Amino acid sequence: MDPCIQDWAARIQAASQKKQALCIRGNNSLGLCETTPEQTLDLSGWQGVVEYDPGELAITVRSGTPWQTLLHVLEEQGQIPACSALQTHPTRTVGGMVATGFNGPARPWLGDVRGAVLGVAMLNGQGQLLTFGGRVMKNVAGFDLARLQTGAWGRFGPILEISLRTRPAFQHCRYLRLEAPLDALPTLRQRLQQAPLTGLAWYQGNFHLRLQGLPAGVQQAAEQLGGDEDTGFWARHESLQWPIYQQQPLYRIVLPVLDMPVSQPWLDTANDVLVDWGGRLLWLATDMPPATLRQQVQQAGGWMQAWPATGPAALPASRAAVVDRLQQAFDPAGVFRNNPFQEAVHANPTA
Amino acid sequence: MNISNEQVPLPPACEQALKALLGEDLLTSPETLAPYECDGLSVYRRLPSAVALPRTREQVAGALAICHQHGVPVIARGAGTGLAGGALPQAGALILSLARLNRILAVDPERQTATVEPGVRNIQISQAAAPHGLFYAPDPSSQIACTIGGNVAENSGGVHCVKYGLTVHNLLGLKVLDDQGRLLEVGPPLLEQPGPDLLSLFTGSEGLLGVVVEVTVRLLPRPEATGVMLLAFDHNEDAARTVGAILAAGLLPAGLEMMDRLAIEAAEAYSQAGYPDCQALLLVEVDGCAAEVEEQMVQIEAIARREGMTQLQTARDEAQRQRLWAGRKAAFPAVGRLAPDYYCMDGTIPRKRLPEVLARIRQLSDHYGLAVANVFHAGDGNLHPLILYDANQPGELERTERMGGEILRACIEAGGTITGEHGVGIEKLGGMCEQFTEAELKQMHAVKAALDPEGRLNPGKAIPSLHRCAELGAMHVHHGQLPFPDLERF
Ligand SMILES: Cc1cc2nc3c(=O)[nH]c(=O)nc-3n(C[C@H](O)[C@H](O)[C@H](O)COP(=O)(O)OP(=O)(O)OC[C@H]3O[C@@H](n4cnc5c(N)ncnc54)[C@H](O)[C@@H]3O)c2cc1C
Repeated sequence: MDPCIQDWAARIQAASQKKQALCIRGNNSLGLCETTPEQTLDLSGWQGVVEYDPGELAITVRSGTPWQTLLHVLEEQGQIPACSALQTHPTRTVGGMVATGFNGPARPWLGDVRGAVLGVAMLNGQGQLLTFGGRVMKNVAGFDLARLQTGAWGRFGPILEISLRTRPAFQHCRYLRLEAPLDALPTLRQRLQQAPLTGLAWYQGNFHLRLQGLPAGVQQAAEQLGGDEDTGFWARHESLQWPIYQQQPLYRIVLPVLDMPVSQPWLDTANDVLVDWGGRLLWLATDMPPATLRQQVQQAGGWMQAWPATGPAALPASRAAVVDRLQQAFDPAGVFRNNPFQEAVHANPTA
Repeated sequence: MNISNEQVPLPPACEQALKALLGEDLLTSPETLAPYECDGLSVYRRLPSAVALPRTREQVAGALAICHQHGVPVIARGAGTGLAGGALPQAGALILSLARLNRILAVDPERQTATVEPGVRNIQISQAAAPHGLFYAPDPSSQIACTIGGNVAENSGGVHCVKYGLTVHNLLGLKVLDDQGRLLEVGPPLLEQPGPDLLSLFTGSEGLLGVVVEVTVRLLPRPEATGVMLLAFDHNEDAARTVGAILAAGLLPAGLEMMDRLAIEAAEAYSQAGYPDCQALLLVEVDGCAAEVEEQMVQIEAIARREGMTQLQTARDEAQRQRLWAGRKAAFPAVGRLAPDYYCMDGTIPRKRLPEVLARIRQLSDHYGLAVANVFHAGDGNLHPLILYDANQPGELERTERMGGEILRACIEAGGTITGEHGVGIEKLGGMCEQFTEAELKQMHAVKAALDPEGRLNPGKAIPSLHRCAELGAMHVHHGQLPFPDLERF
C-alpha cells in the first residue's frame, strides 16, 4: 500500500482508539484547519491523475489535485467535467470541490457535482480503505456511498480518489448581453427553451447569456436572440470576481425559481443582487437581519447560506439526525465529527 | 430456483391491526396474493404473507408503524417489473404495494418540475408534462408499467442516459418514510441541497433504507428536433469502435444502442423494421434545435464511414423514427420467440473493453452451449446479454445462472460492475461478494443499520451478509481490474 495511505490509516486508527479528532485538510483554501500537524490529515500533496481515458468519459484523480489541474488535463483532450462546480478559490482541490458540493453557474444545463461523481476511494473513521461506485457511468451495485460524500465536508472520512464523469467540450461558444429589467426573465426563459444554453444570469440591469454547443445551433440561437456580444462577464462570474462577491454580508440563496413579477421584499432592500441559474440561484448582499431573510427564503421554498461558506449549511432537524446516524456508521469514535467543519452544523442544528 | 406456495401468515395481532387500518385493501387469501408472488425475475416465487394496498401516505405510515410494533418485515413494491427479485416476498413479511398512491400532485412549468406519488407510472410523468412542452428524461423500456417509486429504488436508466443521465440525475427531492413510518424530507426539491447527498443515498437503495412516498423530478424542454440513424457493420468490433469514436469527437447523442447479429435477426423476424442484413448495428438518436440535429448527423456519418460502416439509414420524421426504433424496442420479446426462456443480464464495462467482453461472451456461449443475443446501451457500456434457455430441460436454468455469473465476473474483471441499472435484489448477491471487500460490505450494513436498526425493510436483498459470501466462497477474489487498482487493500 502507498505509504501515505498507510500512515493516514494508522493515524485514524490511533485517533479512533483514543477518541481524538482529526481535521482533513485539502490546501486549506478556506482556512478551516488551523490545527497542529498531529491533529491534521494533510491531503494537499496527494495529487495526480490516476487514470484518464477520454473515450470512457471519465477521469480518476487523487483528491488533492487542484481543480484547475483537472480542467487543464481535460482540456488537452477536448473535454470538460460533466458538471458545473463553483470555483470558490483558484487553489481549490478536487476533493474540496466534491466535499463541499457547491455548484457553479452552468448547473441547470451541465449538471451538478454530485451527479458527476462516479466513484470514490476513501478512509472511514476506523481507518479502513473503502471503494464505492466505480469508473463507469451506470452502476447500481450496493448503496451509493460515493455520491453521499458530496456535500459531506469530510464528515464520513477523507476522500482519497475520485472518479468523475467528463463530457466533450463544446465545439462553439457565444456570449450575449441583453439590457432589460429582471421582470423580463420569464419571457426570456420561454424564448430560450430550445437554445443551447449554458448560462443565464442577471446583474445590474443586464441579462448575460452563454450559448455553447455545435456551431450551427449556437449561431442560429444567437441570431434569433439579438443583443450585444458580451465577453467580460462570464470569466469574472465563473471565478466569483464581481464586486458583489466582495460585499458583506453576502448570501447564496437556492430557490425553486424566482417568482415573477419580482415581489420579494429581500430584492427591494438589497444592496446588490446577482441572479443566476436562470432565476434559481441568488447572490444577495443585504443588511436584512439573517433570521428574517432565512424565514423568507424558507417560505419561498429555498435555503441559504452566508458567504463565504466556512462550513456546511445548517440542516433541518430530521435530516441532521439522519446525517448524525450516518456519521456513527462511518466513524463511530467521532474522529471527524468534531473537526472545525462540523461546528456550523452543531451550532445551529434546527435552522 | 425458489418456489414455495406455502403461505406463512402474519402474526394475528399485526394482521388485525392492518385490517382495521386498511379494510378490504389488505389481501390475505392465497388467490388474491398470487399476483404478488414474484417480480420480473419470475424464476423466483414465494407467496407473500399479506399484501397491503394503501391509498394514502397516512395509510402507508400507519402500516409501517404497525409492522414496527409487531416486528414484521416490510417489502415495498411498485409495479413488480424489477428484474433482480428486489420485490420477492419473504416468509412472514408484508408486501407494501405503493401502486395505488398514483396521483400526479403538481406539474409546474415555471419551475420545470413534477411532484408525484410513488405509484405513478414512469410514462405518465412525460404525458402530464407534454402539454407544457416538457418531458421526464429517464425512460426505461418498461416505462409504460414501472412506477417512479420503483425507478428511484433501482436508479433506473433508459435509452437516453448517455445525454440525460439516470434517475439520480433527474431527481430534485424525495419524501421517504422510515422503518417506523416517520417522514423524512430529502429536500427541498431544488437544483442543490445542503449537506451530504442523501438524495443519492436513497436512490438505488432497493427499498432497504425507507419507503419513498413522494418524488419531485426535473422536467426538461422537449427538443425541437430529433434524428435517428441506423449504422450497419460487418463486425461487432467496428460498431464498438464507432461508439468510442463518436464520443471522442465531442458529440453527445441522446441515445446510442447496439444490437448483434442474433438480436437483429430476431427483431427483424418479429417486427419487420427493415433492418439490413449485417453483423452488428448501432442506433443513434440525436436531438436539439434543427440545425444542431443536421450537424450531428453529418459528423456521425463521417465518423461511422471511417470506422467501416457498410450501410446507413436515417430518419428525420416521426414515422421513420418509429420504424427504426421498432426493431430495438421489440428486441426483448423478439428474442423471447427464439427459445422458451431467456435470462436478461445487466453489467456495465468501460466502453473500450466492449470488443473483448463481447468476444468473451461468445466463448462462454460456446462453452455452455447456450445462445446469447446482445442488445444493449452501448453509449454507457451497459450490456444486456440475453441468454436463451429452456427451463423445462433439467439443469438448464442452473447452467444459465452459472454462465450469467461468469459474464458478470468478466464485467468486474474488465473494470466494470455487476449491475448497471437492474439492481442487485436477490439475484446478484453473489456478485456483490466479488465486487466488494468485506470492509466495504460491512460499511454498507452499518449504513443500513443506521437507518433501519431492526433490519426490517426488505431484509436479505441488495447487500449480502458476510456469512453468505463465505458460504459462496466468493469473497472478493477478483482483484484484477477493480476500480482504483493502484490502491492496495487491507
Ligand atoms: C420488459 C422490461 C424492460 C425493462 N427495461 C428497463 C430499462 O430499460 N432500464 C432499467 O433501468 N430497468 C428496466 N427494467 C427493470 C424495471 O422495470 C425497473 O427496475 C423499474 O424501476 C422497477 O419499477 P417497479 O415499479 O416495477 O418496481 P418493483 O419491481 O415493484 O420494485 C423494485 C424494487 O424497488 C423497491 N421499491 C418499489 N417501490 C418502492 C418505493 N416506493 N419505496 C421504496 N422502495 C420501493 C422494491 O422493494 C424493489 O426492491 C425493465 C423491466 C422489464 C420487465
